[in-house]
Amino acid sequence: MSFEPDVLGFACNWCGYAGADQAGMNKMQYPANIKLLRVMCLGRVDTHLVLEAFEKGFDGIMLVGCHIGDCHYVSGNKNAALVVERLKGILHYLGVEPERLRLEEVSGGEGPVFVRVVKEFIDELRALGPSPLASLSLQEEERVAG
Amino acid sequence: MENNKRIGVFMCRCGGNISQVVDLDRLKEFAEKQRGVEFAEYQSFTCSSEGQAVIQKAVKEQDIDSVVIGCCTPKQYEELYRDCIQETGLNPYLLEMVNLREQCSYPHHDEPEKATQKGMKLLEAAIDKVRLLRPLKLEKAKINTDVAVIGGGIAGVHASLMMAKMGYKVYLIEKEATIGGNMAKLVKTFPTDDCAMCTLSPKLDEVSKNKNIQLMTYSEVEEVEKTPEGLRLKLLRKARYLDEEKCTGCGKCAEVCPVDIYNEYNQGLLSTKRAAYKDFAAGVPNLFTIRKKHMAPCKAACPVNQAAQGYLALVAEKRFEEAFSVVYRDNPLPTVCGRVCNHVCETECTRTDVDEPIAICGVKRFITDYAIQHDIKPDISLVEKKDKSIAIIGSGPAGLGCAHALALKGYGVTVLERNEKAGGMLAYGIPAYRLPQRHLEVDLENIKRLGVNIKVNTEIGKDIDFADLYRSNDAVFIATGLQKSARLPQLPGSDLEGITQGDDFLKRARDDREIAVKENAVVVGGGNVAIDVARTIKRLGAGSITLVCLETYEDMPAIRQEIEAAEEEGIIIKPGLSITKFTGEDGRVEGIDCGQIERIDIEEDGRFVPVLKPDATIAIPCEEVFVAIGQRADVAFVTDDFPLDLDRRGLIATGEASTITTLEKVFAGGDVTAGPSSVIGSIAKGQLAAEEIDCFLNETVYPGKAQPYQQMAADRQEIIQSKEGLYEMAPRVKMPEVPLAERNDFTEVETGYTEEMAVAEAKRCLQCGECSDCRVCEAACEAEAVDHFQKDTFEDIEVGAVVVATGFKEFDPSGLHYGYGEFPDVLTQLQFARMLDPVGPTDGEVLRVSNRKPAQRIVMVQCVGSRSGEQGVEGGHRYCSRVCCMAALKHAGLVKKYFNPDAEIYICNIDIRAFGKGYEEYFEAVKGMGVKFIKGLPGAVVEDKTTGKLVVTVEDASTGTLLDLEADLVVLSSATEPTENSALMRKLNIPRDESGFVKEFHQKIRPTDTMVRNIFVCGSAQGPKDIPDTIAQAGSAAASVVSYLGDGYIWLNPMIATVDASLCRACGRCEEGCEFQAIKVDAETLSARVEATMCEGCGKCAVLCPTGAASVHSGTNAQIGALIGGLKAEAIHEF
Repeated sequence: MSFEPDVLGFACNWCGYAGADQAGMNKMQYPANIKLLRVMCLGRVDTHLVLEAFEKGFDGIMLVGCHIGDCHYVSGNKNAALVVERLKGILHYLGVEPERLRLEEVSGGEGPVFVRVVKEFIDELRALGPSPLASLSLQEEERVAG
Repeated sequence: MENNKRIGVFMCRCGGNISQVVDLDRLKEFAEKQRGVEFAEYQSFTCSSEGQAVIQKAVKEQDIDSVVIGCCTPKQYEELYRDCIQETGLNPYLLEMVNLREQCSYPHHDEPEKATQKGMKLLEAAIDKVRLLRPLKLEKAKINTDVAVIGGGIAGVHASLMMAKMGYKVYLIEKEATIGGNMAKLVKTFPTDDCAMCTLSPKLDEVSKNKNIQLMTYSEVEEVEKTPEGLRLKLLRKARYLDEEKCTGCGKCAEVCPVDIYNEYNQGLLSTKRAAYKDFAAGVPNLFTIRKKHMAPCKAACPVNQAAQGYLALVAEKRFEEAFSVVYRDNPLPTVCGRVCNHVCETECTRTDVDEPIAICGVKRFITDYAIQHDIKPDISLVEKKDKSIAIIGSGPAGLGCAHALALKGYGVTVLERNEKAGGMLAYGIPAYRLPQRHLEVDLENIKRLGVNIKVNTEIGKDIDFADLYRSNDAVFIATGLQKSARLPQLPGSDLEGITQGDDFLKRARDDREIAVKENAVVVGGGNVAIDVARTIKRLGAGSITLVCLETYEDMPAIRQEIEAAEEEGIIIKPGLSITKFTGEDGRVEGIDCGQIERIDIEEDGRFVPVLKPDATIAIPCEEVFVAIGQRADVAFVTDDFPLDLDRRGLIATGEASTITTLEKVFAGGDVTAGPSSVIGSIAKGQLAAEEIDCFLNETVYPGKAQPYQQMAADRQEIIQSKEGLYEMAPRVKMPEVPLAERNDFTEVETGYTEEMAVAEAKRCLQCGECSDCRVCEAACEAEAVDHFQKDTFEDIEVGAVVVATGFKEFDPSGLHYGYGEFPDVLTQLQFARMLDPVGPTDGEVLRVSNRKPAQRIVMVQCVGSRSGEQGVEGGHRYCSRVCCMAALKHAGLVKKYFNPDAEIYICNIDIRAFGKGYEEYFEAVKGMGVKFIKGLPGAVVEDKTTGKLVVTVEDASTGTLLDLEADLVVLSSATEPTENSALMRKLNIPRDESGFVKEFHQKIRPTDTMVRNIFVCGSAQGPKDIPDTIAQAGSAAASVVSYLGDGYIWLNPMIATVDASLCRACGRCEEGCEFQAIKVDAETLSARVEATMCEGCGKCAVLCPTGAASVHSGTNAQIGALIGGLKAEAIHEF
């Protein structure tokens, strides 16, 4: 069986999450690999939350929020962009491919865009294979269990 | 606490929407195994009252204290379920929802197994989080109960009236000058065919009378700021250039306004409107508006800011006397300037980029010639005399400009002139073939009529002492110009006979037309004086004249037309040469030697130092040399007792852009301070001096010239684009001249425009500034309401709620294959509506636009810009605009019923959508009138060059035949699209949908709410709509606002930021990053504090906080961490 990445999506309430809802409402199909975690704003997504998710074993993490300039809270997505920028450096340092972290702009009306970026991301993650941290966390679990 | 939580899990089958994909039995089983879950069940519809009752019963009976509900998206029913559990006595925030529908069963229905597994993870995450939830405090807060409605179309008007009648104060904000919006443009409305105005205007009238509505027209929302009690809107109140309190709406301003501008109300159809306008008679408020865009480039370029556009507009209407007063208002020497001005206005004329600049100077000259012919004198009746006297030294343009302006202010003015005639360089420096003496006299006479005393033959230092003058006057203005001729440096042969200073010569030639000149002459210099000398000696009989100058041909400072005229008259110009020596024999000059210039260095004192190419000497033989290389100032009459500073060029020193000198109460301007400049530039300096003297005498500081425009700069290309269709190509009318062969005396070369020529030339003006600043409306307004110097203002209003009713605009079909914008006979339905208006631009006749002949065959095209497949294809839209089918039917029926029963009308369509009450019947009735329907949209609209008619090529899908329909008019049913609202929506912080309409909270059940709780939407701003639907929605929005505002208290969102004071170190990063000023460091407690009414709960502060002190209720790190863990948990070991 081919590798299926496990993907976490932080989605803002107003754009990313609403865009995913819109895709769903229109019965647009995308892989079930992605599970969205709703936050009011991407500005709430902290470095350590993303790292925690990688540590728990997710193969890829996507932040889905409003278009720059359209943030419901004015600048939360801009702040998220800074956090992502910083995280990419940290991931590189940790030996995790920075491409495993993505920031996407999807408005509440852009269901098709949501589907496209999710498919793209999952395809890319399939090519990358499991996250080095995912196998570590599995080993850790096995070690503890064993 | 989390360990002993009793959790209830309730899931929804959603009538199969969820359960047909996600295996709810397995989810239930899975849930039951989770720690703390006391109860798990699924049912058909959890949202129904039965479903809610099941939840409430279980909560009570099982002693559930935390609830997880798995159903549709939380964005739909989260509030409903909070209320549901609150009724049982639970805190409503002990709830977590699982999106089993939009994010599970719907998007993964092709993979039910994977959907079920995902559902379990979503469920586990929610259970993990709900264990950590804490009850949140419920609080009420006071809010403002006033409402702002943005948009004064039928939606905004109706919503405003509803709320006002319910007792709420409403600010109705409209960006245009009057309210009424698009409905005011429709002639009749379907399906009843009653006249739009008849139904609309009583409502508009009601708005103007309702005490609860404050109408704010010609206003735009500039900024939006959240406040604890709602929103503060900063409104831009655009200047109407009319005092709203004084204007009676009589319309005199529009009657006299000479400027035609684009008529938005008629969509530019066969009509223009005046720059002072009111779009339609029933418009509310009953006020006129003057449209000013920016100062026209000609006016901005002119040193005295002549309102050239204004007098051109008046000349175009043959209102010459009014034109004269416009000219004279800013220019005391118009007769002179009409002849000798360097007219920078023409250099900057926008029309230059179309074909050729307007001959502004020539038209001005015509106006002054007309004034002389008809004995028109400036109006001087309003001058009030003042008891102060000012002496002006020098009667050139600067002195006269100052004298005139001071006299108009009522001061006693004496001008002292040392020569025999007044006018300075105008009298002595400009040859008569350019400025006849009698024309100078006309302007001098008008200045004298103001009481200005011009004393000629009076030299300071000789006839009167400067000290006496200084003592006996309240102020002195020195405008003596440049009196000393500049000399060439001492060159070999300088002392030969036959070398003359150019300006001395011109002065002599002005009086003595018989001076003997030699056959071969050389003139040295490249300025106006040099050209004047050359052309003068030509007239005195010189045969061969060569003009040499330092500058390149392009850089010669003389007026271009003058250089060209000199060349026409046979004068040879040799630029780029520097004279190195005079040659001659027997003490008489016989030629000059010149070096070719490589470059010119400019010395510190402003002198030019030419650097010559080596070994490139040119010898020019001649019998006479005239040197005209400039003049120098001579202010020796100011004796040493007076500390008047000079600059390094020997000119009087003044403050920058000022005429104030170092000597108390002495002012100076014109060439004596600036060096050589133009006539009009010197007049401007004189006028500036007058203002500064006036301020000095009133002990104030001159604040700079007040301008009747707020925007000074204009983009020429932008102007040309905006004037598309309002002008025709026409070359500049050539100025008639005395033929070359006859130019042997001092008769004026240019003979001036005839009336026809002047009018034709004036009509070429593009009217760049919209309002031309002619100010004839000012005189016409009996209410004295016109104020050309008004400025935009800002006004803040505080409201508790906003209704967005910004409406629609018609899609612009230019660029599609229907020939719109290319052929005048292709219109849009909105334009056609204007044509069908009995008081519209064609007086209600159905005419071809191209030739104003009756239109017999009309082809309408549906779905133009609507239903166009992919979004953005040729700028079209995917959606159906909903009103166009009915509009086409209405217009077709109206033509048949009221205008021409024999007209042939074709409606090309995909299908006709007659969906509303009475609409299908309306459709049937129109069909019954013989209107023909073609199934299919045209592939092309072209013009038959031989007949001049349009040919519409369309395949009729019902018969499969290809038709070439000849048409008199093609009417496009163009899409409706949202008005340019993106900036406003961003300010209001509400999202738009993919088509740019305002995104409603929920399309079906909350269509007039937006994502922001105190902002509402109605009408076409939310989506394409006809009038009945718009009215219904406006009512819905009004009711929603009222139910939100209620008695002025609302429940606060408790899911906001919180600070753990024990961790806070008062670094202030949260305060810095918060966009809502909701979190602030308290200086006393040295801890950040959250303002509950202002916090939006975004959580940014929690990320910015370096210590973990800031967090968000129901969104703590631990709670989010629980979700992450739940979503990842490899819980489903059974697969």
